Amino acid sequence: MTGKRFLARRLGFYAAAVWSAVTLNFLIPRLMPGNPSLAIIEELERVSGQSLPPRTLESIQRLFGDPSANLGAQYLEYLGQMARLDLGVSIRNFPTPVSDLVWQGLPWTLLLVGSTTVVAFLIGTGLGVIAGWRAGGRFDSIVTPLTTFVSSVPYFWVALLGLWAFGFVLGWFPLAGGYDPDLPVGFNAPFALSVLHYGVLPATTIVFSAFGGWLLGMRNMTVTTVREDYVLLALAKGLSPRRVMLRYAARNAMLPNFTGFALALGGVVGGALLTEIVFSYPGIGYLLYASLQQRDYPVMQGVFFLITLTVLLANLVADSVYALLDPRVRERA
Amino acid sequence: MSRRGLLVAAVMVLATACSAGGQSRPTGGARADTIVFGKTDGGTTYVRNFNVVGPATQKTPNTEMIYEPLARIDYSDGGTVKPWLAESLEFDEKGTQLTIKVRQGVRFSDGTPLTADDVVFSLRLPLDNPDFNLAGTTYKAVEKVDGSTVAVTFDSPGFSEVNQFASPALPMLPKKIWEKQDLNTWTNPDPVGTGPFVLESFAAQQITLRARDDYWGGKFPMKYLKIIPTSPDAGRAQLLRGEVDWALSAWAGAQEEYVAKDPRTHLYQLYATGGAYSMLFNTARPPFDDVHVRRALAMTIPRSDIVTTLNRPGTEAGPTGLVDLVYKDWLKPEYRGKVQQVDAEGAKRELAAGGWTVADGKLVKDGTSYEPTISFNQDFGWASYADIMINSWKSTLGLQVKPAGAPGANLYESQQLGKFDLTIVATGGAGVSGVYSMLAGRAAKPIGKKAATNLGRWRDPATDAALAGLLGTSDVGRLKQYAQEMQSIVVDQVPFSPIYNSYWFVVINAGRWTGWPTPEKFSYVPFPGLGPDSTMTLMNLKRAAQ
Repeated sequence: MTGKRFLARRLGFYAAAVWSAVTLNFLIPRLMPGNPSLAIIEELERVSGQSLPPRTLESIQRLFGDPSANLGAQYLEYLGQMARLDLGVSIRNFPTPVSDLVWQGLPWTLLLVGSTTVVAFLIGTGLGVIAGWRAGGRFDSIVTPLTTFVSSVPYFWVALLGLWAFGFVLGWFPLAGGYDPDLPVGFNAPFALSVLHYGVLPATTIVFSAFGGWLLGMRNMTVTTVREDYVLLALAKGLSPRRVMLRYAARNAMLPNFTGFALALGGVVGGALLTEIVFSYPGIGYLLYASLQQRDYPVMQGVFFLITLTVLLANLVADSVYALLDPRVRERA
Repeated sequence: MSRRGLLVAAVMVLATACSAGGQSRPTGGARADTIVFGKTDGGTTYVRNFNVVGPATQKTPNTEMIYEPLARIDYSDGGTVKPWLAESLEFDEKGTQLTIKVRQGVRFSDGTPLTADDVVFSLRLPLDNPDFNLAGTTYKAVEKVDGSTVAVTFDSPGFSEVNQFASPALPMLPKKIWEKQDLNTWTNPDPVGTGPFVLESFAAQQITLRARDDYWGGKFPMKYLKIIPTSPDAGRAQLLRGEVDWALSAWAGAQEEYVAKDPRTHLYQLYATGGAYSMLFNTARPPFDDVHVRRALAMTIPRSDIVTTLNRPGTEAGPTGLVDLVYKDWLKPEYRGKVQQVDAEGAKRELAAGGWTVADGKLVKDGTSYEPTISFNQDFGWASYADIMINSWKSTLGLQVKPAGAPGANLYESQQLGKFDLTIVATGGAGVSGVYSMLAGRAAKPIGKKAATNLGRWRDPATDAALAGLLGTSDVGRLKQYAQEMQSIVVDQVPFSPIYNSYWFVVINAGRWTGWPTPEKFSYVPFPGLGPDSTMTLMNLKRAAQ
């Protein structure tokens, strides 16, 4: 197979994946029971504690209508919008454009979830190599069970406990928010410092809950790799154990973990809903959650579209980097 | 092990460095002229959207401090309508023409005066743009009479519909700014209103409003009102620490966890909204077209058990649909403060009187048997309350009612279409006629056709006569008479059965600002959704002696 054909096939695959994801994005929300106008009415009634006047109901239904009406026309319009990267206007935040909402939350999500995903991966994978290299050793027999325990603690509980202990009792960290709102937003030292200060608790709790998965995966892969002949050979050749551990065992054991990491990076744009709720952190997770609840189709579509694209992109990157890490993939291609 | 220790140490160092950095800033000085409202139910960020007439559920919060309506609803006085930006609102004898005198001396925050033209423009906005009729206006035309007078016409007597002029969704807008805008795209980023505050600065996690010194109503003791997003849990900690002065939060353990810590400054207040959660019968289909069945089921709702589960003792709803705390002067004496206890014997007598028996958990009459279901909104945690009711019906009457929890939006659709036996709804509205308008025969639709308000399909000539009376007069004596007729109908015929009252839950830390109203003694409610009430609340606060 020539390089060109290979590339064309990959691109065809990604195009098909984008199309089907985009179509599902459109269909699934509309196949769910309920619709935006009913959700808005319900929310307004909940907030006011009273039933709405009949004219209000009419006016809301006139504006947002019954979206189960002509699905075909809606789909064509939607495809056109997606092609122009026009995400439309939010319903919950009418008439704010979806792109405004996304840009308001996305940088914070990328910052928090992006950095914690990388840190959790590095810590987990690093410790996993050490644990797996001497499986059954002192380090392994303490850290591995402890990690299993830690990762089975529900995240929201860790987060609430962290908030209570370090935020409320000790008062080291603020109780809510992503930055000091009294400072002007921008790239300046006081603001950056406040972002760090406000970010410590959310980030630490995420890393605390997430590194365990990487550690266990890496440890178990390392355990099987260290039994391989080539590791024994390397050791027999008299190479330093450190070099064998990192260059021979870890490099091979890391492949599955790395795939997982690439996909996790793709999922970063989905945000960390529980973190955002517990710490009132600005981000995209809550936006998505609230849009789902209130059937805000344009926002749901916009965010899902973004997630789809990043996951596919991450997939592409993983595919490529895999080839670098593992020569066997290159040869087969 | 060492790496992990290193990480923990690094975090600690960073933490101390940061918290030290945070403390060095002068927080006290900035806080002294500021009141902080912690918003617990608006998500984690705000969007700069001051398009106040749009139907978004997530506009910028607290716009009621910037835009004001013509009138307010006084919840300390039977939910009656009092003028606000209007000097007076008066109907002619027939009730089809309302004359509005515009308050003089009111200025928008850009310095221009509020004129009759602005009022005409604002009131016509929902007529010209029916999609933006969030206030649910019912008048037909608006005309300017002179520089300070506006006439509003109704097709039928509108005495009881004057409450629409108190809706925060019908604010008075500056014509010269709004007439040029497309409401479908404009987010009104720099709002100009008549209200006591202007937008000082906007960040996604903090809105800072500054008190005007040229507000028509008077001066404010604070300079800034800050609105910050928080979660219910963090919000409670912030209230305890005094970082937040004012919040809305239904806090089940507030007495022990909050008030008891400092009863002088930690206030937890419940104000009745005038609304209630009620069980609605589908009166268009058997067996609930029979009053005996409705009475029997209503008599065996364990209301006290439900409010105990809700952690809100004493909030059982009375039988009339009018909440005591708001409508005490309007209630018949025998219904005042009445709590309906479970009456199993009475309920059995009712079933017998209607010729009903219960066999195998089913309601049976003339060889036909019915297995009713009760639908409710599962998003609001109603399942456990429905269970309490179902268990009570089983143990008192032997009747097996099936629970049918549904997500809110689905539930609402089935209610509109009349596809239910028993269902849970929010009842109540502004004023007595607002509460009972859901029973109007003209709003009833056959099952399968969407009804907007009369979800229970109630048709009753006596009800329609009393409602027509309520709508057709402004005479308080006669209004009370019709209101009492409606009470008797609801208690006797049971088209719906109220279960527990709705409240605004206000949590206050009065360490910095004192002079808050209390539910025992108030003439305005410290609830931000009621704009003029919040204005009066803030204006009458005093800086606490530190």
